[in-house]
Amino acid sequence: MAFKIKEVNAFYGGKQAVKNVSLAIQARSVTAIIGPSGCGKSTFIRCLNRMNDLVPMFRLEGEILYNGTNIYSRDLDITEVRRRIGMVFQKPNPFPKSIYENAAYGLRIQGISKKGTLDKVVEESLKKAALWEEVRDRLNTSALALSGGQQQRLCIARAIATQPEVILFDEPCSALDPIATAKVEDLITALKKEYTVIIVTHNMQQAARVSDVTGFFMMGELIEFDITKKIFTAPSNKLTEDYITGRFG
Amino acid sequence: MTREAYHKALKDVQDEVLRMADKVGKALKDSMEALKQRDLETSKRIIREDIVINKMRFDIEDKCLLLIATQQPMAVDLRILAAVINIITDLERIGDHAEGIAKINIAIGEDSLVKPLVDIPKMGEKGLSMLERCMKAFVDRDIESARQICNEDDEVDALYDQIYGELLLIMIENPRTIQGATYLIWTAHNLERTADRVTNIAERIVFMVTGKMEEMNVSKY
Repeated sequence: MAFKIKEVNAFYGGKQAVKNVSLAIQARSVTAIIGPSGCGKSTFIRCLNRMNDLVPMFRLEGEILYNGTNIYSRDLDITEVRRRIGMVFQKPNPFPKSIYENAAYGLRIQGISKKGTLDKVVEESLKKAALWEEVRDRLNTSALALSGGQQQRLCIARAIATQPEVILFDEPCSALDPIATAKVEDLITALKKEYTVIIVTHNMQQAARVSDVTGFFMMGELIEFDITKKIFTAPSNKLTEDYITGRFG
Repeated sequence: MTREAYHKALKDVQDEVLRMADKVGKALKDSMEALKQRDLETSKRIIREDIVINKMRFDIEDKCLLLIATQQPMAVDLRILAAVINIITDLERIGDHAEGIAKINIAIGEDSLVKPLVDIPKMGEKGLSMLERCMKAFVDRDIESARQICNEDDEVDALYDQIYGELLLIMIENPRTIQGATYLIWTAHNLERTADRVTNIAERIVFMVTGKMEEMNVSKY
């Protein structure tokens, strides 16, 4: 198991966003988190690489063990946690730099500047993000000139470049058109050979297509967590069924 | 995000299945009545109207495919549509069995029957009752009733055995009855298959509710 999450409660000030969630996430698989707006799914995924630490008044109870180590323990280097557990956001957010510099960014802030190393990692990351063929001839042009779908894949390349073990996707396709969405979905499927992928999505069909395991959140609680095939064909919980069949939400 | 138009379309499909089942049940009932009464006109009508049943089946199938393509049904909705596509196939075949009985009646024509109809109407009534209760179980999502209906297929098989044995004896005693007796065996066979089709529908109802496919009663034939 990559993650073991034990009785996690998350609060923004007095408001509880995640309630007593326990689950285990297997390495090299795709786990989807679904649920209506405000159900706590984004808060939950942001707990997994301590992204919520940046939010004032945020507080977490319980344990999140990654490979057996509590990622919230005081003596852990938070930058190292985020290097190992990368994140891709809803809106593509490339830096206003060249394509090359975006892919190389993570290495540069780690102090790596040797051109041969950077070239190699940039190429590998762009290849893994299925973007290399489209941009190999214009690596020095601005990343902002890319299409939305290409920008998102560049952000995935940027996340991959620092050699993470886990990639968290928070609504990665909600700002993309269907073709770009299909490319990112194919990419997610390919990435699970090497990485543990956790994806928050509003799009239930996307969860059904790309994930191995799905968790359904409602009002901060994990209602059901099971293999995706079961969740979408014969869920055990009536609330899950009502949500995925559009009877509420 | 409640999806009212979609859920209405899903309900409409199920209502159409019930209308189709009514039509099929009526064809079966009429085909047996026509055989008893030696009413060739009714048999001709049943044969003509089988086209309507076939068309209903394709219309419902189209609607199911459209819902799958446009609405991405999931969980129980997906199981309903998968079940419906199978159920209408079995209903359509039951319609063919009714048509088959109508054709036999016409083939017998003005000849008299080689034996009085006793057990064959019993088979027909049993099959029809199974079909009607099965469609009620479909509406009520009643898996207990669906399982019970599957068990009743054994009674239909037993009647078929009895009819077959009797007709065999009649043929041995008087070879001139071979043609007429064969017609009645075909009729009984159509009824035996009808009950099998109903058990298939019952299995789909259990699947629709539980998500598990179970073979609930393997017919002798």
